[in-house]
Amino acid sequence: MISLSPIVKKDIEVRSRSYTLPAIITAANAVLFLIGLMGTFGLVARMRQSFDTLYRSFLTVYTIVALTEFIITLFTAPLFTAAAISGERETGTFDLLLTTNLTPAEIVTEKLISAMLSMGMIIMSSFPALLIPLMFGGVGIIDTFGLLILFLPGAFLMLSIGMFTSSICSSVTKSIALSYVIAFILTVGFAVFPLMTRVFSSETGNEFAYLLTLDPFLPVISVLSRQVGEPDFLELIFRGLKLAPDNAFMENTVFISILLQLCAAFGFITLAVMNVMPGRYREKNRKIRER
Amino acid sequence: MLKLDNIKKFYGHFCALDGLELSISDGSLLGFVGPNGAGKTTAIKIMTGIIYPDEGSVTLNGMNPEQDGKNYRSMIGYVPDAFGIYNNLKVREYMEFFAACVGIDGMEARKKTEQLLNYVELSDKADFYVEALSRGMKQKLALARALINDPPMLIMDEPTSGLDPRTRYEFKQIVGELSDRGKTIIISSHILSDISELCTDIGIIDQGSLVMSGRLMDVMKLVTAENPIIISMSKKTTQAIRFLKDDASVKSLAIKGNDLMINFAGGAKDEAALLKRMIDAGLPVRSFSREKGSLESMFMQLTGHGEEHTITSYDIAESNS
Repeated sequence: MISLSPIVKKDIEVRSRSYTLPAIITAANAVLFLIGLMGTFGLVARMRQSFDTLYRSFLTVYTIVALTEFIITLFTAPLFTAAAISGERETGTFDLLLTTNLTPAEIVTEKLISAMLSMGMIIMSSFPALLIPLMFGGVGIIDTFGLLILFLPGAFLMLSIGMFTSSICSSVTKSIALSYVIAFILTVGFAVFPLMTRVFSSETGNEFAYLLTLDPFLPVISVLSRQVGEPDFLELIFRGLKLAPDNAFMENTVFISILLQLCAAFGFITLAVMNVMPGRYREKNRKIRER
Repeated sequence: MLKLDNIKKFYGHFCALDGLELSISDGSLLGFVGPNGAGKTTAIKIMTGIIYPDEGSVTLNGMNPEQDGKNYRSMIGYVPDAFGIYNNLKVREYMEFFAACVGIDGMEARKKTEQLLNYVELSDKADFYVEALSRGMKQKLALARALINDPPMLIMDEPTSGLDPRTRYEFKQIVGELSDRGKTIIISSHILSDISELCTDIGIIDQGSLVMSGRLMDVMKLVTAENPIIISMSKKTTQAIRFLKDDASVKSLAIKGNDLMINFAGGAKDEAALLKRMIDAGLPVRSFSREKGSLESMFMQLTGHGEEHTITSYDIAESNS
């Protein structure tokens, strides 16, 4: 029998009684199925009329469904952790947890694990929706499943951002708002900034384009483009941003990006733990007084 | 013994605790009182190990919360002012969750839960959602939760505030019983009547430091000795005023109808001698007694919000007469 830690067990119990998680899963899958089914049926109808086989178009639908699922994943993830600590602070239960045998690191980790379980359910539940446009082949089932696994580092990063904001904000609303600001900077901002700076850069010298490696979209887009037969897509992106990284970088972009995301996630988790330590602010207070 | 030694705690530039010193001996029931913003909750959080002080040290039987974290925390049960309740858990689940958090699992946790819910008379509510409980029941549940690992020390922040008289009475009964069992209990409260009924010791905090502490009876005696003597006259009030003004032991005097309030330097024997002199002088004294000290008046005096009106009236009376 699996022995769950108390916080994970409690969170599972509480979530199982709430409509929130089933509602998110239902809504996310409704959107994905709608896109997948409408795209597929539309293409089948066109094929009936034109007698052409539109394999590439089915892969485009697959790409849209996959990216939609990834966007849903990234932007629902902070919701699961942004209230983890700030919510407990609001109800006065966080202080109680600190008086138990659990250390701040254990509390943060267990909260993260329970949120990760919920995110895992959302991601994995979308597997059938991803398979709809693949009824005529194109991408294998294992590769499709692999793509979903690739969503996990991005989701983990977003969960850690939520955990971090939860540790510094006194209210859930502030925490959610701040987590979305950080998530937005990391995803959209890290793509827009190199795009804006490209005008000032030489033909191959816009180093800001490396910021993209921290963007959770990069490994997903990279793998997705290879799956649908566009292996040079990543190179096109970097070239568009006026950067021509060497081959070693280009070959390992996915790995580098995932590694960087995991490092950033652990950074956010460490900060979250530091923010809930009983001795927090001691050094900061000392410096303020000295000033 | 819990010992707070020169505790300082700052929030930015604001000094919440300024050299707080407090010793709480084993088995005592200490009332921890102070006005709003005096630093009570910060002090309590430091005692429980939820926050660490910026300066100074806290020790509980030689253990320090920073070095002996788990062991230190396992010695203390904490009941916060906000109940600290998960509304979407059932009463039994809530208890078992905290049991698991302190390392008590399975059958042992279930047994402990049954025992404690029975003790606080909530066993019939075990399968209720916590949100369905009344305020008083939630407070009892919070107390039961704090006792889950049978800690030798209980710290309660405003435990009786907002409770109806009956629940307050029941709650006090339980606290009294726990004290009789030998638990060291610290109660922070604004309800001074509860403190004076329950506690054996008192600590009064104001502006981040302790202004008085000790056995409640000793502290009360000390304050009572400084209280004015109230003399009620049936007639001849003017003569009585003149008589008292001429008495060297009377420091000041105030008049309130037929009652005379005097600040008197002297013990019980001197009081008796003064009364005898007044009777010998033919003054019809109806009653002669030292004003009873209340915890409330003591609290007001010690926290710098004394009975200014009364004191002023003495001065005026003194200068007028």
